[in-house]
Amino acid sequence: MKNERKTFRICSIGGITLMALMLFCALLLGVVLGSTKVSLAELWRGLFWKEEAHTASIILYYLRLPRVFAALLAGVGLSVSGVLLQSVTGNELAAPNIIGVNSGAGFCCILLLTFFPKISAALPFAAALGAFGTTLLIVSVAAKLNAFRGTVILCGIAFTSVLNAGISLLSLLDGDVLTAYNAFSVGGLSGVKFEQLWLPAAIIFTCLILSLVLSRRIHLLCLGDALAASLGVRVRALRLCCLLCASASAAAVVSFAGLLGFVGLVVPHIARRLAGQRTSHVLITSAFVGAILVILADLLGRVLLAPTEIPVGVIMALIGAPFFFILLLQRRDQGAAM
Amino acid sequence: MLQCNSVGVTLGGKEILSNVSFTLRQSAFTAVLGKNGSGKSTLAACICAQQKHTGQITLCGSDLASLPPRARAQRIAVLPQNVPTPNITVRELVSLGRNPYIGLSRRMGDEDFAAIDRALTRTDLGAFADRMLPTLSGGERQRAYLAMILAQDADVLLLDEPTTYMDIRAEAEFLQLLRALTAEGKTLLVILHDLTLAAKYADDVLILEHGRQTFCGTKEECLKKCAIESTFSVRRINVDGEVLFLA
Repeated sequence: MKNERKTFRICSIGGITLMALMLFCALLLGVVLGSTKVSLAELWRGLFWKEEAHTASIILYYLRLPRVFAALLAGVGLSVSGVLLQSVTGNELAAPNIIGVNSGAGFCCILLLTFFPKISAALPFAAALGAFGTTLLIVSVAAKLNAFRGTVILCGIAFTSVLNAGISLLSLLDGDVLTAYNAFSVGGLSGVKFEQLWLPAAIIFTCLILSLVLSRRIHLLCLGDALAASLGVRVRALRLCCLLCASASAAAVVSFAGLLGFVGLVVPHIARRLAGQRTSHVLITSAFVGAILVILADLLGRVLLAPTEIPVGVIMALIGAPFFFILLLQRRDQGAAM
Repeated sequence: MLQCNSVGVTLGGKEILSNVSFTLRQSAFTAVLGKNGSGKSTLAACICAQQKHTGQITLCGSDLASLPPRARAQRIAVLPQNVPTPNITVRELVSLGRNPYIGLSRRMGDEDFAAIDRALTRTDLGAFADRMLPTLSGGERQRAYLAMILAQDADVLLLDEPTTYMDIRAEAEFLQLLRALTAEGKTLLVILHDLTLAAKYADDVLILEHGRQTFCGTKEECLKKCAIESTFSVRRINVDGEVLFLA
């Protein structure tokens, strides 16, 4: 009953309005705060008068706005990816890295840096290609072995090990490559531009909408494959579709933010605690919570040691790991599934 | 009605089911009996189109395997042996039974809500509708799942050992409820491990041994031919007009 009351609250119009308001506040803070503060008056002038030569306008249009938009996209994309992966694998510890997003992206990046160091601008595309390609490979092998649910995780572990070995081998050959790869693997949003974000935004929101359309079917997977199939769900096709959505969404984030950890793992757990188990509610709540969390983590990284920046990936790991540990402890105390 | 014609399954070179043929009688309770590994659950998986097989399974003349999943789900409802306990309310679980009738718009209409209420009332779970599934006892949980497949509004119900984790009282109540459903027009195919309960509640009996069908007919015929005794090496006694099987 307690859970139901929570579900009602967070998924009512009031709940969604509250989350939207919190997101707006996070966006506002993300725009005005930083190593250089922008007052609300300057923000207003900068937004609506767009004085090209004005410092506040330059900061807003070239630094802050693309950055908070990127943080919002990263939060939504990784959270949705996490919810889908945890639903289709039935594993609460599933995150984008289990379907090869991190290892695939990392391997392609290091390949590019090793053999074509002059076109390092193509790094985001290589990362997205690697992430998506590895997922396709893992999903195809798991589908061929005909034991999808558990096998996809085992295939992910096997492919990740091979790709990580490849990353280690290539980085041993060239120290410069290792340095460049390290910066990418931590995950950060500094220097991101609007032009980089339109395509990932289209991919992420398409995946979110598709997931919401399929959410009732996805929810049926909580009954197990046999029951879901007997209720008219094409389980394998649905699972494949969700995995591709999860991969595309995470790969889109990797293309501009690098390998941002913990969001896809932690946020779905927070959302389930707030919204209950219904997949549509978890997806909507995750999108809001993920966006707010990444925007605030990025803001923290900018102001904590200003003017030095801490990459958002480091902040997420610092916040995410203890938070996840607390969630696990609470779950143990309650003796129930989250 | 549901008809199996020469259904067979071979896995890794081993014959799991061979030449199983039977027709379910409409509005009858058919018990499927057999020792462990006799192929009962494999037969259930074939009927659910989750196991590739030879032969043909038809429902009212239509090949079950060729029916689209949602159309199949509108005609045959399945309760597998092992069901999870998701952290959702009873009403939410029962509402999932309406999935075969709901398109991607996900909207449920008055007919769906009426079917959910009917299923909850029929299984006597009205008072539990807002309880979370993990807070129910094993028997109540199984009734909730029965309500879910009743909300599915299918004519044929297939239940794989539905009373496994129930105490004697819950087991009896559950089987009485199943028995009553046949009077309302439902056709039941129930895999049971308790021979005495099968003799008490079933109309028809199907016995499998090493993947082969050794008997298929009415309960009276089964008792007359001592088919259960010969398959399970048990003896039968009659106490106060009730049939009991003892090892």
